Amino acid sequence: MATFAVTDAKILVAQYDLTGDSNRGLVSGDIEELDSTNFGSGGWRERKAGVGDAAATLEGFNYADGTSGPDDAFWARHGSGDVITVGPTGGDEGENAYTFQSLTGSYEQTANHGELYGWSVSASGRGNLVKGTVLEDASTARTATFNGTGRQLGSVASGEKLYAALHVLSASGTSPTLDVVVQSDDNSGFTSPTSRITFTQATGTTHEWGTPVDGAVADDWYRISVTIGGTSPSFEFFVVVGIA
Amino acid sequence: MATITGIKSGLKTRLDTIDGLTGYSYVPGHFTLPAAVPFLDEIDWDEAMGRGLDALRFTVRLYVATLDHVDENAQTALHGYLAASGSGSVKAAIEGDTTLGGVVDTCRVTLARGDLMLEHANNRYLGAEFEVQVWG
Repeated sequence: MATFAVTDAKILVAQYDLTGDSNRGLVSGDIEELDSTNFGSGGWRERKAGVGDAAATLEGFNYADGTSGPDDAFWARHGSGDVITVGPTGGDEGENAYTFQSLTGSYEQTANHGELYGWSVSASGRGNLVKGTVLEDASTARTATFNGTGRQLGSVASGEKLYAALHVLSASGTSPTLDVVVQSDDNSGFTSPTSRITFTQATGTTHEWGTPVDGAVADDWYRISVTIGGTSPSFEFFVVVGIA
Repeated sequence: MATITGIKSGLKTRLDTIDGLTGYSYVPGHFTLPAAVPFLDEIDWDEAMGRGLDALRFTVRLYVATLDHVDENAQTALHGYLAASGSGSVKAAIEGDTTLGGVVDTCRVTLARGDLMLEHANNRYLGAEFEVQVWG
Protein backbone atom coordinates (compact mmCIF):
# COMPACT_ATOMS: atom_id res chain seq x y z
CA MET A 1 0.00 0.00 0.00
CA ALA A 2 1.41 3.41 -0.94
CA THR A 3 0.66 6.91 0.19
CA PHE A 4 -0.41 9.52 -2.34
CA ALA A 5 -0.42 13.24 -2.97
CA VAL A 6 -3.81 14.73 -2.21
CA THR A 7 -5.04 16.68 -5.20
CA ASP A 8 -8.52 15.30 -5.71
CA ALA A 9 -10.27 15.13 -2.35
CA LYS A 10 -14.05 15.43 -2.50
CA ILE A 11 -15.32 18.11 -0.12
CA LEU A 12 -19.08 18.25 0.46
CA VAL A 13 -20.82 20.54 2.94
CA ALA A 14 -24.60 20.24 3.10
CA GLN A 15 -25.79 20.53 -0.51
CA TYR A 16 -22.62 22.26 -1.72
CA ASP A 17 -19.76 20.62 -3.60
CA LEU A 18 -16.76 22.70 -2.59
CA THR A 19 -14.16 20.39 -4.11
CA GLY A 20 -12.92 22.82 -6.73
CA ASP A 21 -12.86 25.69 -4.21
CA SER A 22 -10.98 23.81 -1.48
CA ASN A 23 -7.31 23.24 -0.87
CA ARG A 24 -7.31 21.78 2.64
CA GLY A 25 -9.55 19.36 4.45
CA LEU A 26 -8.81 18.10 7.95
CA VAL A 27 -11.25 15.61 9.47
CA SER A 28 -10.65 14.35 12.96
CA GLY A 29 -12.25 11.91 15.34
CA ASP A 30 -10.79 12.53 18.79
CA ILE A 31 -11.41 10.19 21.69
CA GLU A 32 -11.19 11.71 25.16
CA GLU A 33 -8.47 10.10 27.23
CA LEU A 34 -9.66 9.44 30.80
CA ASP A 35 -6.93 8.98 33.34
CA SER A 36 -7.45 5.77 35.31
CA THR A 37 -4.03 5.66 36.93
CA ASN A 38 -4.04 4.02 40.32
CA PHE A 39 -1.63 2.69 42.90
CA GLY A 40 -1.59 -0.62 41.08
CA SER A 41 -0.54 0.92 37.73
CA GLY A 42 3.14 0.10 38.27
CA GLY A 43 4.27 3.68 38.00
CA TRP A 44 2.76 4.23 34.55
CA ARG A 45 -0.28 6.19 33.43
CA GLU A 46 -3.34 4.23 32.51
CA ARG A 47 -6.15 5.59 30.44
CA LYS A 48 -9.56 4.56 29.26
CA ALA A 49 -11.46 5.81 26.24
CA GLY A 50 -14.04 8.44 26.95
CA VAL A 51 -16.35 10.42 24.74
CA GLY A 52 -15.58 10.82 21.03
CA ASP A 53 -15.63 14.14 19.18
CA ALA A 54 -15.76 14.62 15.41
CA ALA A 55 -14.55 17.81 13.76
CA ALA A 56 -13.42 19.23 10.44
CA THR A 57 -11.31 22.15 9.34
CA LEU A 58 -11.73 23.09 5.70
CA GLU A 59 -10.04 25.85 3.71
CA GLY A 60 -10.04 27.14 0.19
CA PHE A 61 -10.58 30.00 -2.24
CA ASN A 62 -13.63 32.13 -1.78
CA TYR A 63 -16.19 33.90 -3.94
CA ALA A 64 -19.91 34.58 -3.96
CA ASP A 65 -22.06 34.15 -7.05
CA GLY A 66 -25.39 34.31 -5.28
CA THR A 67 -26.02 30.58 -5.23
CA SER A 68 -23.12 28.16 -4.95
CA GLY A 69 -19.94 29.97 -4.00
CA PRO A 70 -18.28 29.17 -0.70
CA ASP A 71 -19.35 32.52 0.76
CA ASP A 72 -22.95 31.81 -0.31
CA ALA A 73 -22.77 28.40 1.37
CA PHE A 74 -21.14 29.33 4.63
CA TRP A 75 -22.75 32.70 5.24
CA ALA A 76 -26.16 31.06 4.86
CA ARG A 77 -25.24 28.08 7.00
CA HIS A 78 -23.17 29.75 9.66
CA GLY A 79 -24.36 28.24 12.93
CA SER A 80 -26.46 25.61 11.18
CA GLY A 81 -26.40 21.87 11.42
CA ASP A 82 -24.94 20.27 8.32
CA VAL A 83 -23.57 17.03 6.99
CA ILE A 84 -19.92 17.15 5.97
CA THR A 85 -18.37 14.43 3.83
CA VAL A 86 -14.75 14.25 2.77
CA GLY A 87 -13.46 11.68 0.28
CA PRO A 88 -9.67 11.84 0.43
CA THR A 89 -9.11 10.01 -2.86
CA GLY A 90 -11.83 11.76 -4.84
CA GLY A 91 -15.00 10.17 -3.50
CA ASP A 92 -15.60 7.93 -6.51
CA GLU A 93 -18.07 5.04 -6.17
CA GLY A 94 -16.58 2.30 -4.08
CA GLU A 95 -14.01 4.57 -2.43
CA ASN A 96 -13.88 5.59 1.19
CA ALA A 97 -15.35 8.79 2.52
CA TYR A 98 -15.59 10.21 6.02
CA THR A 99 -18.91 11.73 7.02
CA PHE A 100 -20.51 13.25 10.10
CA GLN A 101 -23.23 15.59 11.25
CA SER A 102 -21.65 18.95 11.90
CA LEU A 103 -22.25 22.37 13.34
CA THR A 104 -20.53 25.09 11.33
CA GLY A 105 -19.37 27.20 14.24
CA SER A 106 -16.60 29.24 12.65
CA TYR A 107 -16.44 30.79 9.21
CA GLU A 108 -13.45 32.98 8.51
CA GLN A 109 -12.78 35.01 5.42
CA THR A 110 -9.18 35.81 4.61
CA ALA A 111 -8.34 38.87 2.56
CA ASN A 112 -4.60 39.32 2.29
CA HIS A 113 -3.49 42.06 -0.03
CA GLY A 114 -2.60 40.68 -3.45
CA GLU A 115 -3.61 37.11 -2.60
CA LEU A 116 -6.74 35.20 -3.52
CA TYR A 117 -9.77 35.76 -1.31
CA GLY A 118 -9.89 32.78 1.03
CA TRP A 119 -12.19 30.96 3.41
CA SER A 120 -11.70 28.75 6.42
CA VAL A 121 -14.37 26.79 8.28
CA SER A 122 -14.23 24.93 11.56
CA ALA A 123 -17.09 22.54 12.19
CA SER A 124 -17.71 20.40 15.25
CA GLY A 125 -19.58 17.13 15.36
CA ARG A 126 -23.15 16.48 16.35
CA GLY A 127 -22.56 12.75 16.65
CA ASN A 128 -20.04 10.23 15.55
CA LEU A 129 -17.61 10.24 12.65
CA VAL A 130 -18.30 7.44 10.18
CA LYS A 131 -15.88 5.95 7.68
CA GLY A 132 -18.08 4.78 4.85
CA THR A 133 -18.16 3.63 1.24
CA VAL A 134 -19.44 5.81 -1.58
CA LEU A 135 -22.48 4.27 -3.28
CA GLU A 136 -23.24 7.25 -5.55
CA ASP A 137 -20.60 9.84 -6.43
CA ALA A 138 -22.58 12.62 -8.20
CA SER A 139 -20.48 12.24 -11.36
CA THR A 140 -23.52 11.33 -13.44
CA ALA A 141 -26.73 13.32 -13.80
CA ARG A 142 -29.47 10.84 -12.94
CA THR A 143 -32.66 11.25 -14.91
CA ALA A 144 -34.49 7.96 -14.39
CA THR A 145 -35.21 5.39 -11.72
CA PHE A 146 -32.36 2.93 -11.14
CA ASN A 147 -30.65 0.61 -8.69
CA GLY A 148 -27.06 1.39 -7.83
CA THR A 149 -24.11 -0.96 -7.82
CA GLY A 150 -24.05 -3.31 -4.86
CA ARG A 151 -21.07 -3.17 -2.47
CA GLN A 152 -20.12 -5.79 0.09
CA LEU A 153 -19.63 -3.69 3.24
CA GLY A 154 -20.04 -6.39 5.86
CA SER A 155 -22.63 -7.22 8.46
CA VAL A 156 -23.71 -4.86 11.21
CA ALA A 157 -22.85 -6.45 14.54
CA SER A 158 -24.94 -6.06 17.66
CA GLY A 159 -23.96 -2.77 19.23
CA GLU A 160 -23.05 -1.26 15.87
CA LYS A 161 -25.19 0.87 13.59
CA LEU A 162 -25.63 1.34 9.86
CA TYR A 163 -25.22 4.98 8.81
CA ALA A 164 -25.91 6.84 5.56
CA ALA A 165 -25.55 10.40 4.35
CA LEU A 166 -27.08 12.06 1.30
CA HIS A 167 -25.95 15.24 -0.48
CA VAL A 168 -28.17 16.39 -3.37
CA LEU A 169 -25.91 18.81 -5.25
CA SER A 170 -28.08 19.75 -8.21
CA ALA A 171 -31.68 19.33 -9.26
CA SER A 172 -33.57 20.46 -12.33
CA GLY A 173 -36.71 19.76 -14.28
CA THR A 174 -40.39 20.43 -13.67
CA SER A 175 -41.52 19.20 -10.26
CA PRO A 176 -38.54 16.84 -9.95
CA THR A 177 -38.56 14.26 -7.16
CA LEU A 178 -35.79 12.04 -5.85
CA ASP A 179 -36.32 9.13 -3.48
CA VAL A 180 -33.22 7.31 -2.27
CA VAL A 181 -33.37 4.12 -0.21
CA VAL A 182 -30.39 2.21 1.13
CA GLN A 183 -31.07 -1.49 0.73
CA SER A 184 -29.29 -4.56 2.00
CA ASP A 185 -29.21 -8.22 1.04
CA ASP A 186 -27.14 -11.29 1.69
CA ASN A 187 -26.15 -11.69 -1.96
CA SER A 188 -24.78 -9.48 -4.72
CA GLY A 189 -27.82 -10.11 -6.90
CA PHE A 190 -30.14 -8.49 -4.35
CA THR A 191 -32.71 -11.21 -4.89
CA SER A 192 -34.62 -10.17 -1.76
CA PRO A 193 -33.52 -6.68 -0.74
CA THR A 194 -34.49 -5.09 2.54
CA SER A 195 -34.92 -1.35 2.85
CA ARG A 196 -32.75 -0.11 5.70
CA ILE A 197 -32.51 3.70 5.43
CA THR A 198 -35.06 5.79 3.55
CA PHE A 199 -34.21 9.41 2.90
CA THR A 200 -36.84 12.13 2.74
CA GLN A 201 -37.96 12.80 -0.80
CA ALA A 202 -35.84 15.53 -2.35
CA THR A 203 -37.34 18.09 -4.69
CA GLY A 204 -34.24 20.28 -4.93
CA THR A 205 -30.76 20.53 -3.54
CA THR A 206 -30.58 19.31 0.03
CA HIS A 207 -28.66 17.13 2.44
CA GLU A 208 -29.68 14.57 5.02
CA TRP A 209 -28.24 12.31 7.68
CA GLY A 210 -30.25 9.12 7.45
CA THR A 211 -31.76 7.57 10.56
CA PRO A 212 -29.16 5.04 11.75
CA VAL A 213 -30.15 1.39 11.92
CA ASP A 214 -29.20 -0.68 14.96
CA GLY A 215 -27.40 -3.97 14.49
CA ALA A 216 -27.48 -6.86 14.32
CA VAL A 217 -27.99 -6.96 10.55
CA ALA A 218 -26.78 -10.16 8.95
CA ASP A 219 -26.91 -8.84 5.38
CA ASP A 220 -23.54 -7.75 4.07
CA TRP A 221 -24.37 -6.31 0.64
CA TYR A 222 -25.64 -2.74 0.23
CA ARG A 223 -26.92 -0.60 -2.63
CA ILE A 224 -29.14 2.40 -3.25
CA SER A 225 -32.54 2.09 -4.87
CA VAL A 226 -33.47 5.37 -6.54
CA THR A 227 -36.84 6.56 -7.80
CA ILE A 228 -36.90 9.72 -9.90
CA GLY A 229 -40.05 11.50 -10.95
CA GLY A 230 -41.21 14.71 -12.55
CA THR A 231 -40.89 16.15 -16.04
CA SER A 232 -37.36 16.07 -17.47
CA PRO A 233 -35.90 15.55 -13.99
CA SER A 234 -32.16 15.52 -13.39
CA PHE A 235 -30.29 15.08 -10.13
CA GLU A 236 -26.64 14.87 -9.12
CA PHE A 237 -26.27 13.40 -5.68
CA PHE A 238 -23.79 11.70 -3.39
CA VAL A 239 -24.47 8.83 -0.99
CA VAL A 240 -22.05 7.35 1.51
CA VAL A 241 -22.89 4.35 3.72
CA GLY A 242 -20.89 3.08 6.65
CA ILE A 243 -20.96 0.80 9.67
CA ALA A 244 -19.72 1.95 13.05
CA MET B 1 -9.74 24.87 -17.04
CA ALA B 2 -8.10 27.68 -19.00
CA THR B 3 -5.71 26.75 -21.80
CA ILE B 4 -2.40 28.51 -22.30
CA THR B 5 -3.53 29.46 -25.80
CA GLY B 6 -6.73 30.92 -24.38
CA ILE B 7 -4.88 32.89 -21.74
CA LYS B 8 -2.38 34.32 -24.22
CA SER B 9 -5.23 35.23 -26.53
CA GLY B 10 -6.96 36.96 -23.64
CA LEU B 11 -3.80 38.89 -22.78
CA LYS B 12 -3.39 39.95 -26.41
CA THR B 13 -6.95 41.26 -26.45
CA ARG B 14 -6.29 43.34 -23.33
CA LEU B 15 -2.97 44.66 -24.66
CA ASP B 16 -4.58 45.62 -27.96
CA THR B 17 -6.79 48.07 -26.06
CA ILE B 18 -3.75 50.34 -25.66
CA ASP B 19 -3.73 52.69 -28.60
CA GLY B 20 -0.72 52.12 -30.85
CA LEU B 21 0.47 48.93 -29.09
CA THR B 22 0.41 45.60 -30.93
CA GLY B 23 -0.31 42.63 -28.72
CA TYR B 24 0.65 39.08 -29.67
CA SER B 25 -0.78 35.73 -28.55
CA TYR B 26 2.31 33.85 -29.71
CA VAL B 27 6.04 34.54 -29.84
CA PRO B 28 6.64 36.06 -33.28
CA GLY B 29 9.84 36.00 -35.25
CA HIS B 30 9.39 39.64 -36.11
CA PHE B 31 6.94 42.16 -34.71
CA THR B 32 5.53 45.61 -35.24
CA LEU B 33 6.82 48.11 -32.69
CA PRO B 34 5.75 48.84 -30.07
CA ALA B 35 4.90 45.21 -29.34
CA ALA B 36 3.83 43.23 -26.29
CA VAL B 37 4.45 39.48 -26.20
CA PRO B 38 3.35 37.14 -23.36
CA PHE B 39 5.75 34.38 -22.29
CA LEU B 40 4.71 31.56 -19.98
CA ASP B 41 7.05 31.30 -16.97
CA GLU B 42 5.58 28.58 -14.80
CA ILE B 43 2.45 26.67 -13.86
CA ASP B 44 1.50 25.58 -10.35
CA TRP B 45 -1.02 22.80 -10.88
CA ASP B 46 -3.64 21.64 -8.39
CA GLU B 47 -3.98 24.76 -6.25
CA ALA B 48 -7.46 23.47 -5.39
CA MET B 49 -8.89 19.96 -5.14
CA GLY B 50 -10.28 18.10 -8.11
CA ARG B 51 -8.32 20.15 -10.67
CA GLY B 52 -10.28 23.15 -9.50
CA LEU B 53 -7.57 25.76 -9.87
CA ASP B 54 -4.14 26.27 -11.39
CA ALA B 55 -1.83 29.25 -10.90
CA LEU B 56 0.18 30.43 -13.89
CA ARG B 57 2.77 33.16 -14.16
CA PHE B 58 3.42 34.98 -17.40
CA THR B 59 5.95 37.62 -18.31
CA VAL B 60 4.70 40.13 -20.85
CA ARG B 61 7.69 41.60 -22.61
CA LEU B 62 7.16 45.06 -24.03
CA TYR B 63 9.40 46.13 -26.90
CA VAL B 64 9.30 49.88 -27.54
CA ALA B 65 12.14 50.72 -29.94
CA THR B 66 15.33 49.22 -31.27
CA LEU B 67 18.33 50.43 -29.33
CA ASP B 68 19.70 52.26 -32.36
CA HIS B 69 16.44 54.23 -32.60
CA VAL B 70 15.90 55.05 -28.94
CA ASP B 71 15.07 58.69 -28.31
CA GLU B 72 13.25 60.73 -25.72
CA ASN B 73 9.87 59.96 -27.30
CA ALA B 74 10.44 56.22 -27.01
CA GLN B 75 11.40 56.55 -23.35
CA THR B 76 8.39 58.74 -22.61
CA ALA B 77 6.16 56.14 -24.22
CA LEU B 78 7.80 53.41 -22.17
CA HIS B 79 7.09 55.29 -18.96
CA GLY B 80 3.45 55.55 -20.01
CA TYR B 81 3.31 51.78 -20.41
CA LEU B 82 4.91 51.38 -16.96
CA ALA B 83 2.40 53.65 -15.25
CA ALA B 84 -0.11 52.10 -12.88
CA SER B 85 -2.97 53.88 -14.58
CA GLY B 86 -3.71 55.92 -17.67
CA SER B 87 -4.45 55.21 -21.29
CA GLY B 88 -1.03 53.63 -21.91
CA SER B 89 -0.80 51.61 -18.70
CA VAL B 90 -0.19 47.91 -19.34
CA LYS B 91 -1.30 47.09 -15.77
CA ALA B 92 -4.57 48.97 -16.18
CA ALA B 93 -5.21 47.46 -19.60
CA ILE B 94 -4.74 43.85 -18.48
CA GLU B 95 -6.64 44.33 -15.22
CA GLY B 96 -9.46 46.05 -17.11
CA ASP B 97 -10.86 42.55 -17.51
CA THR B 98 -9.33 40.26 -14.93
CA THR B 99 -11.09 37.26 -16.47
CA LEU B 100 -9.30 37.87 -19.81
CA GLY B 101 -12.53 37.48 -21.70
CA GLY B 102 -13.96 34.84 -19.38
CA VAL B 103 -11.16 32.29 -19.75
CA VAL B 104 -9.69 32.58 -16.22
CA ASP B 105 -10.95 33.19 -12.67
CA THR B 106 -8.81 36.25 -12.19
CA CYS B 107 -5.40 37.77 -12.89
CA ARG B 108 -3.16 40.49 -11.52
CA VAL B 109 -0.16 42.36 -12.88
CA THR B 110 2.12 41.98 -9.88
CA LEU B 111 5.28 43.83 -10.88
CA ALA B 112 7.17 45.46 -13.71
CA ARG B 113 10.81 45.77 -14.58
CA GLY B 114 12.07 48.62 -16.72
CA ASP B 115 13.87 50.39 -18.34
CA LEU B 116 15.34 47.22 -19.82
CA MET B 117 17.37 46.18 -22.79
CA LEU B 118 15.59 43.16 -24.26
CA GLU B 119 16.92 40.82 -26.89
CA HIS B 120 14.71 39.12 -29.45
CA ALA B 121 15.63 37.42 -32.74
CA ASN B 122 19.16 38.82 -32.63
CA ASN B 123 17.95 42.39 -32.15
CA ARG B 124 18.09 44.55 -29.03
CA TYR B 125 15.25 46.73 -27.86
CA LEU B 126 14.39 49.24 -25.17
CA GLY B 127 11.51 47.80 -23.21
CA ALA B 128 10.06 46.46 -20.01
CA GLU B 129 8.77 43.25 -18.47
CA PHE B 130 5.48 42.79 -16.64
CA GLU B 131 4.75 39.79 -14.42
CA VAL B 132 1.15 38.64 -14.64
CA GLN B 133 -0.23 36.15 -12.14
CA VAL B 134 -3.19 34.19 -13.50
CA TRP B 135 -5.54 31.85 -11.67
CA GLY B 136 -7.92 29.58 -13.53
